This record gives sequence, C-alpha cells and structure tokens, in this order.
Amino acid sequence: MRRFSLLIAFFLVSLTAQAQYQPVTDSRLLNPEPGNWLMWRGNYENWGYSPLSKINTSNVSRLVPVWAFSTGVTQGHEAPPIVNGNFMYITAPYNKLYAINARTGQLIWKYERQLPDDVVTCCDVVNRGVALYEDKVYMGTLDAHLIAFDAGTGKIVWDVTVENYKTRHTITSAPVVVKGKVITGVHGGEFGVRGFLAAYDANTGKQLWKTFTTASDASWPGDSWKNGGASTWLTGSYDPRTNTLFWGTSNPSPWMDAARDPSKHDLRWTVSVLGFDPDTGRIKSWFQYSPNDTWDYDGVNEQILITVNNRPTLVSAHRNGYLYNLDRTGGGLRYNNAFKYAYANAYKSIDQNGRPVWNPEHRPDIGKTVNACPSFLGGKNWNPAAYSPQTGLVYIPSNDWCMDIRGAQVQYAAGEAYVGAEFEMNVVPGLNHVGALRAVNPANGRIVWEQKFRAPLWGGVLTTAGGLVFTGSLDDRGFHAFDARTGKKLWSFTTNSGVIGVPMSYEVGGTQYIAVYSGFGGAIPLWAGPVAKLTQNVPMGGVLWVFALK
Amino acid sequence: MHKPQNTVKTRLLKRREALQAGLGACAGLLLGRTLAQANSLVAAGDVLVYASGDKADQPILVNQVGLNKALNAYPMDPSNQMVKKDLKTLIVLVRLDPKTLDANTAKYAANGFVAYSAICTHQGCPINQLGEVGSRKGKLVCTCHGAVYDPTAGAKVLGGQAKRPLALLPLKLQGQNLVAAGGFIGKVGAD
Repeated sequence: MRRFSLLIAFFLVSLTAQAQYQPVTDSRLLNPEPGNWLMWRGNYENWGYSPLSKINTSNVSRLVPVWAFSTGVTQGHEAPPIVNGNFMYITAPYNKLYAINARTGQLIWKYERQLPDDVVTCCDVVNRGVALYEDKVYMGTLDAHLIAFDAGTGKIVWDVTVENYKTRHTITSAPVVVKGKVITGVHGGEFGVRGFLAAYDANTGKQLWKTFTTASDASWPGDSWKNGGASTWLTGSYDPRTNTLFWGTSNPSPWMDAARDPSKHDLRWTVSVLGFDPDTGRIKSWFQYSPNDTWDYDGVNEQILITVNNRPTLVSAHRNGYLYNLDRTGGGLRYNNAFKYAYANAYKSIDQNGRPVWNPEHRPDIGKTVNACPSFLGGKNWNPAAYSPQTGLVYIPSNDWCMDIRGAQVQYAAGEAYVGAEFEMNVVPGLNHVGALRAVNPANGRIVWEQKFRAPLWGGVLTTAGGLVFTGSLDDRGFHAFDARTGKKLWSFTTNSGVIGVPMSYEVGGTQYIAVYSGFGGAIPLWAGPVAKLTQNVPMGGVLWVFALK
Repeated sequence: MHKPQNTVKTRLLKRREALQAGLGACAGLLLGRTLAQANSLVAAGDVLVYASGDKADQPILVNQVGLNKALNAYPMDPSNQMVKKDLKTLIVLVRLDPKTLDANTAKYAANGFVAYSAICTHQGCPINQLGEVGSRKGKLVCTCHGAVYDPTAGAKVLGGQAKRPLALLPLKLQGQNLVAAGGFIGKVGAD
C-alpha cells in the first residue's frame, strides 16, 4: 500500500511538473517574456540582454547567492542556464544535463550521457547549453548526436546521429530552433572536418536539410575543401523579418598549407558569416572576414543583430580584434566598417570591401615564424559579448595578447590532428593586463569605458534593463556587476573557481535572479601556454551560482 | 568509463600510422584514459628501433640521429627480434649536447641520447617532437594540449596541464645501437 502511495505521489508530482511546463512556441521564441531565458543569448538576435530591472544600479550591492548547484565536474563550464517558468536546464561538461527548479534549486531530473571513450575534442569537453521548443529540450553531444528530451520528465524522445564522432565531428554549442526545425552546427576544425549546418524536425528528429560550409570551388587548391574546416561550432542568430539565419564558420583546416596560393585561394567559406534560409538550408548571403587565413582567426563569434545608424546591422567582435558592422538589409551581408577593439597588428588595415590588408611581418606561413596579435584565441573568443538597447553599446569580453606562430606542413589523416601550425602565446609587451571588458559604440568604434583584468577573460557578458553589465573573471574567481553607462564596478562576488560561464537573468514568483556558472577549464589552460600561468592557481570544479537581492 | 585494452591499442595503432605519415600526433582531449601503470614492458638489453617511417622496426644507429632531434622508437627484444609495439612501450628519443643535461639525467643518458616514455602524462597523447617556437624551442611538446617537458632535466614539466614528468628510460650504447639499460623509471602514461 505504501509503495502504491509513493507511486501515486510521484505520478502527481510528475503531472504537476508537466502541467507547469509551458510549451515554447514560435511566438514565444520571437518575443520571449522578460522573466524567461528561452535560448542561448536570450533572444534570436543574440543580445545577451535581460529586460528585467528589479536588480539595478541602485540596489545591486545587495545581491547575494540564494542557491547553488555543484556538478562534480572539473572541466570547463561554459553553458548558460535556460529557463522556462519554474524549469531551468543547465548542461555540464561531458554532456550532463540537469533540469532544476529555478526557484528552489532542487533537481527535477538529470541526464548524464555515457560517451564513447574515444571521443576527441581539441578544446575541452564543454557544452554550451540547450534549446527549447514546444515540450522538448534539445542538446547536441560530444559524440555528435542531437537528442530531444521531454522537458518535464527528461525521457529521451529521439536521439539522432548528426555525424561520425570518429572523424572528430563533435557538437559543443546549443542548437537554435526556427519554425519547428532544430538547427545545429558542428565542431572539428582542428581535425579536417568539412563543416556544415543541419536542420532536424523538432518532433521526429528527421533530418530536413544539411548544407556544407566549404565551397567546392577554385578558391581551394584541388579538392582540399573536402577536409577544409569551416566548422560551425557556435550558435548563430536569426532575423525573422528577412527569415535569415546568420551563422559563423571556423578556421580553414589546416591553418596553413604550402599548396595554397594567397593570390587565388580565399578558402570559401572559412572564417566567414553566412546567411542561411532556415526553411531550405540555402546559403543566400556571405561575408568572409579573413580570406586565406593563417592566424586561426576563426569566424564563429556571435552575430549581434541590431540597428546602427537606422540600418539593420550585424555586429560581431571578430577574433582579429576588429568589431565589424555588416549591413544585413533583406538578409544580405554587406561590409560597412570595422573598428579595432583589442590590440591587433596582423593587418595593416581593412579595405573598403572588408578585405584585410595583411602585414607581412605578422603573417605566418609554412616554416615562417612571426609574432602576431591578437593570438589565435582572439581579441575575443567564443564567450559572447552583449548589447544593451538602453545604452546602444556592445560590451566585449576582450583579450589583448599575442602569439609566436609558425606553419608546419601536415597531411590529412581521418581522426588525426590537422592543424599545420606551432604556436605559443605571450602577453603584449608593456601591458599589465590581458583581459578587458570594453563598452564599445558600434556606430563609431569608440571605447566608452573599459575594465581591465590581469588574466584573460573567458566568460560571457549579460546586460540588463537595470542598467547593469555582468561578467566573470579568472584569477580572482570573481563575478562582477558594472554600471552599463560608466563602467563603475558596483558589486562583486568571489566564487569557487574561475568564471567562464555565460550569465543570464530570469524571474520566478516575482523575484529576479542572476545566474552564472563558475568552473574554470576550456581552452585557456590547454592552449594559452605562458599566459595560462596567470590562471595556474585557479581551483577547478563547476558550481552554478544563483543570486537575488537580500 | 573504462575501455577494453584492445580498443586502446587499436586506436593508438592508428596514431602510430599517423606518425609514420610524418604527422604531429593527436590534438585532442581523450575522454577515456586507461593506460596501465608503469609495469614497464621495456627490459634491460632491449634495442631501440624506429617506430615509423622507411626504417620502421630497424635499429636506430647513433650516427643516424642529428643533434637536437627527436623521434619515436620502440624496444626490440634482441633474443627473438620481436618489436614490442604497445602504447606503453612507445619511446621518444632525443639527441642533445651532453653538456646541457643535468646531472641526474646524464646518469641515464648515452652519448647525449636521452629516452622517455612518449606518452604525455596529461591525457596520454604520444609525443614525438621538440618545439620550435618561443620558450618551447628545444623542449618536448605534446601537440594534443600543449604540455611542455624539459628533455635535459628528466622531462620535468615546464608548461601545460601535465602534472608529472615523462617516465625516463635509462640508455646505454652497444656499438652503434641504443639499448635500454633498464625499465622505465616513473609511471608511464596519464593518470
């Protein structure tokens, strides 16, 4: 009898949980409620902006942790929580997924993927979050699967193979759902994958389209586009007005190759942003940031869709240290201008068409060692900048750093590294910082304010209608709030580890919360060489921190 | 997550093939890690042979290796000519100026040759090269995740995420051949 009662109780709890779950419709994705955070950057436009304002410049000093959640994992924690009502979904490294009561912090369900032992990634076993649609939660995995879960119970509804993980295709970032299609990119540009974007039916998991992102054309020597990289490993943005999905592509594979002739091999569409028709997958527009790239100036950094000078504009803080403005009228991509936001010397300039004018002293080649800035980890990497419609500014978690780099000829072998470079990072001589949170006017590139950090910045940025900017840091384990207009630091909290998570905000039961992962890892400890010593004493281990006003 | 040992071997054979093609080793974060503890399969008297290339399985002769060069080797049991091809036996051999070796490393070196387990102690990737860029120049580097070891000082860790040195293999000369003077000293592979 007691067992029967328990079963009934569990059933009722499940039913209650189910009943509380509000399906995520197209309409809600187009206009997310201020209290929810339904996707990677809060909206399709990749703003990283919360319209909530109960926590604001006048009271943020009273922000305190109200609950925390430890994952027990000591790799990099880079995901934002995704919140729909009482339900919070947060991923941890190795494709662990937790559904948590957003108000109390109590676990509702969890999924911990049993990954094959021979999965290989270049840059830590991270995951950057989930997507929501109707009554399901979607996660891409390190073994290149896409999985749909019942949002209320965690039951797997479908699980499809996107690509073969043995060729080092992996998925590390959140999908986007557009009109019932779950759209995901892939990672693997250091292993000679051929990048692509693919869409799946949200209900069934059936693949609806797949579009490769290297062009099979004469911009490549021979058929090297077949293993040419252009992976699509960070989540794109969507412009519903023109029905255009903007998505960035990675470095070419390998980074350098003696067969390439810079005068004719642009290596399309590596290091680019592409405009896709999400209904068909057709590429309808493109802009290539770095034709024939040799610096690993990967082009996946987020595209922020805003209006600049009354023009629909795509703004992106690129790896090369320039903030680009691209006109996206009608779903096209046309270069407007670009402004330096980080220390950079690889280019002499950028011409009127947006094509870089290389500085030969700082352009590496096979057997040619140079020092170049920014480093291959970029003036900004995956960790997203944010936009505030209150100030019109873009807040960029930037890094000023350089690298010694030299090309080394390689041959493709499936599953093996296909990098073609040796490198070592270094600080900029004379500077006593690497990280700098910069508030930049996208119309003219003016840096309105900046806050410098001794160690690199590797966490995302959140802006709020409370006039606040949040981001985390590494060497001091800090999570900080700044005045969006002045840059004055208003609040700070010392967490368990270095903060490389993506902060977000939500509201449940009338209370506004700020949430962020602290859990150092990711690419810096692996690849930053001497610069990583700035973070060598940062403790490891992931904890989700949730804050509210005292 | 444990994997069958044969899976590991199969995968690492692929890596060896890659080495034969002259590639850098893997650049990857391996999820599973099952390298057994030292229990070295290398024994005193084993002859070092090329692990890859045109001379694969042939003894490495002293005059074939240039100064400041690194290459992968396997031990061969001279009694039956069997090459011990196993992940745990993959060796990185380096030829250095004997004057650059510290006293302890010099004890186990032969004519400037030093040998270590090639298996990075961070994530178990094979090491086969000396760096050429910046402070990595002349150091043993793991192309997987950037661990750097000092070949002149017992492969102590200079950079990256590795926490302990590579296991050291004592060497001696036997004519033109390089021969193990004992088993590995230290733990082979990653934790």
